[in-house]
Amino acid sequence: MNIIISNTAGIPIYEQIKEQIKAAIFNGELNEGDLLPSIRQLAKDLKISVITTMRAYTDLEHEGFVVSMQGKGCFVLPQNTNLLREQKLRVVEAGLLSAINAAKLAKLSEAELVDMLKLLLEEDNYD
Amino acid sequence: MINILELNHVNKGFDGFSLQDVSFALPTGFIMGYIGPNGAGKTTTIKLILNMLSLDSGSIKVFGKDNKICEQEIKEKIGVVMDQPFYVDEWTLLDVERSLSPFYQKWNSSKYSTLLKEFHLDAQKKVKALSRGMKIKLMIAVALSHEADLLILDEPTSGLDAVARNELIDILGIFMTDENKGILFSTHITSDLEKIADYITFINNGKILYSSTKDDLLEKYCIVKGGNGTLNPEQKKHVIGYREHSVGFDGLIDRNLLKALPKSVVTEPSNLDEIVVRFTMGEKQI
Amino acid sequence: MNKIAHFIHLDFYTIIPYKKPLYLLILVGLVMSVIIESISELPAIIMMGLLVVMSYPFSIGEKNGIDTLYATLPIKRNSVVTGRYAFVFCMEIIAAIFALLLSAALSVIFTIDLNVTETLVSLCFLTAVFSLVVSLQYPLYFKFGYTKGQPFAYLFLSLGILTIALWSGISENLASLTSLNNLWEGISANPYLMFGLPVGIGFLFLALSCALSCRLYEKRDI
Repeated sequence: MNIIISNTAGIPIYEQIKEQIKAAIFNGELNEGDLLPSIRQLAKDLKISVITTMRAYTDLEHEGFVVSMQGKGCFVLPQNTNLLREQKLRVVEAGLLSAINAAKLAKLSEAELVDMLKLLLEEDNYD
Repeated sequence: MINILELNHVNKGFDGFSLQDVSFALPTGFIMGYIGPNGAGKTTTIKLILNMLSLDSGSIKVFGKDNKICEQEIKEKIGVVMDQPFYVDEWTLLDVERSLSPFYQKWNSSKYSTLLKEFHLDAQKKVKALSRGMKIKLMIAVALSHEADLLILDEPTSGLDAVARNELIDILGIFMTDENKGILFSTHITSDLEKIADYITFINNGKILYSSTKDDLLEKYCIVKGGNGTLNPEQKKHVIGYREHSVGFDGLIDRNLLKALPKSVVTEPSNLDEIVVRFTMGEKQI
Repeated sequence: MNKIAHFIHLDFYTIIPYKKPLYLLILVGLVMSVIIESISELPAIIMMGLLVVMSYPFSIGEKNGIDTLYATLPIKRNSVVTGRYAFVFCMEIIAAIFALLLSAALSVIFTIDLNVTETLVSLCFLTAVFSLVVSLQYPLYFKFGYTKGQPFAYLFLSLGILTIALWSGISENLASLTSLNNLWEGISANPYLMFGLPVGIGFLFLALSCALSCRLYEKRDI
């Protein structure tokens, strides 16, 4: 897993870390039971303060994404399937909206757009 | 977890300068940046911690123990880096080990030679032949070789180039991967602390103006800018280090007080330098 | 006890890089003794050299910020002071023995006459003078540091060197005083007193000075 933070993004660093870890959980990079990098190791690697990484991990724990075990580290919790599914649906929706906007610009009709989708699904062997 | 370092109502007076009611605590496992303008009292505080000066009143505890009563025991585990090296110039780096290692119960000789190699320090060279950056690294090598738990650094980066400063920060980062360690890092070059400090204690004119987490400090204050004549005297009072110039004003403000200002002002996040400068200009209490 | 031994070791390492002037002095003393064919001045020269070297830990120390070093080491201030005095005492003994052996060697190599008793007595009194000078100098150094304590300390140093230089003259004059003569007869009859008394008195001076220096250094702001 990679965590890339920006000092100039305007978003607090602990937020950035949280978002990137959540994203990794959602797209399957991090699975249930996976161990997160240790708080101190992460702080050293990213050259940030330990309190910042602690805050990110504590927030993630409160939000139910991870659990911290004394002496062992932070582990990814099994995700609530509804929550996860919802996140994934949102990604699909965003992609579809983007296709719709592009179709408008290309002056495609609704029927043409649906046909295009069916063709792609066939080519992809989507089941 | 006890505090690795604790100062309680410390007072020390000299002619023309005094530390007044200095109190702050560093929990074990964290780095504290000790910032303030030159002459604010940072070095005096460090000398008091090391018992180089005697307190007028108050107490100082290191590892939970009184720094005078348990002085010898505490110093086994304290590593000190000052901006001026304190080894005999004519000593080689091996002489440094030979002279100092007998005093420590836990001197690790192989660690010392490994660190010298890592820091690219030639053991046969004399102390006086080292550059400033190398002298700092030597003091750190000594501190790490006797298994110090608390590192006290007094202006370690002034006079170092960016490469050397970066190397130092790396070394400190590795040191802090152990949760039983702590660092007190006194400096007026705050950019080094922007990233890695957990806590900040800000001192000016012998008084502590702030002592808490760095994140809270940077979130609490922001820079505010606007046009000339935008603020009335009541509003100007809220701005710390208010500076008016020909095409506008700028200053620092507690974010909670922003709502008292007109909406036309522009804000941006602050940094430690700005905070030190503005508070020194404004001579205010946080 | 351990810390004091470690401190003696540290002091030794502090001054050892500056040993060249000492070697030079000994060489000069040797050459001089051979030229004038008398070894009786050699012990005095060696002890004079030692007297100068005994301010080295302070002068070198101050130049290198060594008081800060002591403050970072796990050693109490009392042990720093006691360690310094212990170092001085060790150096005294070593210097005296060295002077004796060197005189004996010269005597054998260059077939110069050597009165062992006279040399021993001389050394004992020299160590007493040496101890007295150090006892007066050191509290000044511990309280004020080397630079500020120097003017007064130099005064004592000069007096000490003067005493040693004029030693033969002084001892003759003392011998001529009849009351002291009786005392002298009494002491010289007993070899233990002859050797022991000056060394003992010297030791006493050092001990008293050490106690004073401990108090002064304890209170000093570094």
